[in-house]
Amino acid sequence: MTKELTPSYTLPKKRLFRRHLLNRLFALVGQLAVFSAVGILVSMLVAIVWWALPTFTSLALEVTIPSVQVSHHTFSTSSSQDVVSPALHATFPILNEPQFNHPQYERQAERLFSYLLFREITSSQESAPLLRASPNTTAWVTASQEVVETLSHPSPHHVKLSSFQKALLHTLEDNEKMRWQFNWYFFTGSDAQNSEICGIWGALLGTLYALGVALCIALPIGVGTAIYLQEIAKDSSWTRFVGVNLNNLAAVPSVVFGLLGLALFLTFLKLPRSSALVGGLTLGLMFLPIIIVSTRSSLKAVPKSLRHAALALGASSSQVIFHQVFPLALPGILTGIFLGIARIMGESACLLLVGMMAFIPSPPTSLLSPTTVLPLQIYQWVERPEKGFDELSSAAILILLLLLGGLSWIALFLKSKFEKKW
Amino acid sequence: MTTSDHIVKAYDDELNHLTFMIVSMGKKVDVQLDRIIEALSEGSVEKAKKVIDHDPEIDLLEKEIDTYAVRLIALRQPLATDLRNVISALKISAHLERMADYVVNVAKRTCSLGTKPLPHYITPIVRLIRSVQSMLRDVLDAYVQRDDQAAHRVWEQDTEVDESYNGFVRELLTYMMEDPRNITPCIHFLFIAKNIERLGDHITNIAEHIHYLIHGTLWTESRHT
Amino acid sequence: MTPPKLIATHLNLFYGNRQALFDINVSIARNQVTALIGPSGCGKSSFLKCLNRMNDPISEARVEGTILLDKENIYSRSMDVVQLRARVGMVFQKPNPFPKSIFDNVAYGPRIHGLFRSNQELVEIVEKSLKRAGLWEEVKDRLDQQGTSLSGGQQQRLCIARAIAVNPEVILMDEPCSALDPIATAKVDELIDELSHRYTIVIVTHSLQQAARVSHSVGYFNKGYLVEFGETGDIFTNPKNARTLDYITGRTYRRT
Ligand SMILES: Nc1ncnc2c1ncn2[C@@H]1O[C@H](COP(=O)(O)OP(=O)(O)OP(=O)(O)O)[C@@H](O)[C@H]1O
Ligand SMILES: [Mg+2]
Repeated sequence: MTKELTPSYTLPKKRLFRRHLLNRLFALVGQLAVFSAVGILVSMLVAIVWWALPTFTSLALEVTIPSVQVSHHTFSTSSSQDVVSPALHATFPILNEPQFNHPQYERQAERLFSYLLFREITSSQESAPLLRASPNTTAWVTASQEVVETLSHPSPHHVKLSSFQKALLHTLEDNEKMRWQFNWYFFTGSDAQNSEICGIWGALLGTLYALGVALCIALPIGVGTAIYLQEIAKDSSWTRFVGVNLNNLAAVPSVVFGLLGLALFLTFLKLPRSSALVGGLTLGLMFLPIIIVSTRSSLKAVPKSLRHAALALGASSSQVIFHQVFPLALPGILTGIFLGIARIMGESACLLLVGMMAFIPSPPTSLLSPTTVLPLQIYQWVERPEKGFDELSSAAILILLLLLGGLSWIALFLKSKFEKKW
Repeated sequence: MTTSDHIVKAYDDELNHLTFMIVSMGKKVDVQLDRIIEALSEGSVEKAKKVIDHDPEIDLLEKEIDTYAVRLIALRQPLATDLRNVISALKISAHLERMADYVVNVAKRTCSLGTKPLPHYITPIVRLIRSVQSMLRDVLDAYVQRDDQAAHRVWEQDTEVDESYNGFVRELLTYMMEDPRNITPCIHFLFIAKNIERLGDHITNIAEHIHYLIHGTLWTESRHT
Repeated sequence: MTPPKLIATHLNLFYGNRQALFDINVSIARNQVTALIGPSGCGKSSFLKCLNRMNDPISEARVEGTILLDKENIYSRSMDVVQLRARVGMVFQKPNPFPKSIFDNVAYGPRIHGLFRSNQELVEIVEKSLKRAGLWEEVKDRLDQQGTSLSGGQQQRLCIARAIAVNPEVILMDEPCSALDPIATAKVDELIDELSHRYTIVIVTHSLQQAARVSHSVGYFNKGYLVEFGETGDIFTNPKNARTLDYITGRTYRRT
């Protein structure tokens, strides 16, 4: 026999000290880890915001558009050059001088503006009948990326603008025909060749369409399946097999779903490539196991005792499900759905394969029209070499992060607000 | 029926202590009987007084047993055999107390006698007391052993006591008829014998309690068959 | 003598291939309280669940033998489980009120069975049930409060009220007082006593005192067998079986 254990209130000092030391060390390591994680996150956010900021402002230059020119030409015959050239001459009178009366200078002047946009503005002026009354009209037109860069980094090494162009800018600046304004194009535009007139609207709309399709497909099927598996189906080896496979499916890399979508919707069903419908269906495929798994776990979290209580009162199994279990599980199910939405919203890989990474310069008009989604739009922009696209992608990332954060916040809100204690 | 131990050891100890108290009470009554035999056969008032002096001890012990049993019922909430155990202890202690009172009665009669009685009174009465004494010892043994058979045997012994009591009464009647001067001692001895006979009855009651304690059923046999 | 309310004959219960109940034969008297006692895991709850087929949702549970409720076998094909459970109510060991208002808790049973014609009638049913469960005075002015916000003892009485609101013929109680203080327990005891005039009650309890207080008959289960069944007074003063004796007197289990 070992000696009797007696309560001892004087533990060995050294041991005690070591134990406390270990405690403190452990706490310290934990705090360090948290701090570094938060630090990384914050610096990432700050960097993104820093990079994204220039995108939200754009430089606008005022253009004078002579109306006389417009009235002379009919729609069909007017080429863009017929509109652009007089407007340039009207804006920069210096072009009328003989030594600059050369198409080369005209082109240099034109390149100060975002190229596509200039035409759009002028042609829109053309269709406005009001304008004919006034002799001249003016419009604020976004400047080209080169101008912005030169102005924000005025260093002699910059050779993007010729001295002639710089001189033109100076005259505009002196006449207060140059201003910084909020870049609405970022929110209303679609993809474009030039970064200054690119926007996320097309991709955002595509994302919403695809999400809508995915939700319409996956929600009823997913929730229904989960209720069936969890509540109605007898617990057999077959249902367990299905359950395990669903769990695995929820963890399968999304490219696999993309392949499935490619085979099923494009090759087999011959649906139009890069349409929101196909993207949505593919996302729906991916969403399905996520919804099933999260719904099942919310249903499982409803205590057995409540089911038994209802059963013992003579409720039928469907009454138990729809009176007791489902209402209690609903906040959890919704939380799962919102987190799932956040996940598929940021999804890109599976959509690559159904052709959603494409240059689509206009927002989708229907579910069948070609479109892209936000993550893929970002991916495309990051790929492009011009500096303007870096900023653009940062801004788009910021928007995506805000959306995802919003969704997570809704999920959290639902959880804390409606979750009942039992 | 074999008895196994309680899961709570202290409960067993308490029940055993109760038995121990009953037994020591019985031993005290036994000693009183010894003393009364001595007092009677010597006709000693002094020794008889000693018997009376010792009686409060037994009363006290009975009260102790009562409180102990009540406490045990309250704290342990005994059931079945354990409950019967405690209840029997209460009853047995009451019987033992009554028995001690009868012994005191005998002692008082001894005082009243005042003189050393003749041997033909002493011999049968001592024999009677001795047989009651052996019944008492047997019944205590049966109680400790929880021996149903032994209790039955004790119970049967009582008929012998009754018979020798009746014989002695008849003897006393003849003495009284022989000579009216015998009437005074004879009456005293009549009462003494009656008291001793009552002791036997109490012992049979104890035997019946032992039966109830063991079987949980009442002693169905009629007393006088 | 009125005929028994429930009669189990040759009842065997299996969980998978483990047998939990072995050849139970017992008749449960009408309008009386029957207590089931026995060590943990001996099959009391399992037996209780057999009586209203609450074993059905357990997929691996299998029942052999018959249980007659008023001469009708509850395991026959013609028996409707929903109907059966409305006739045989159950109160569980752990109070399990729905996370709804007190009113809705009690009203749930009448609602699903359509036991009332007007709203007024439903209100009356709820009030009567809460009164019979001895909870009315404590909750009458907060019926819209969550059932889960009540104390443990109140919750248990709420569950009892919920069970009697359906007006069952038999009430099964699985350790209803295991988490209650003596006062609440006494209230439940009194309730059981009162209910026993109209209902047949089967109660599982670990408190021998409670079994002794409230029941008319006691069944002692051990390792899936019904070891002894008898009148309460007999069981607690002089059980026939050595194992019953050991159990009720708190002795170490005797191997014989
Ligand atoms: N759902 C189940 N699946 C498998 N075995 C079970 C199940 N329910 C109970 N059992 C087994 O059946 C036996 C009896 O269980 P039961 O719940 O009836 O015991 P009990 O007497 O109510 O015990 P307690 O007093 O602890 O509640 C136990 O051995 C238990 O392991
Ligand atoms: Mg149980």
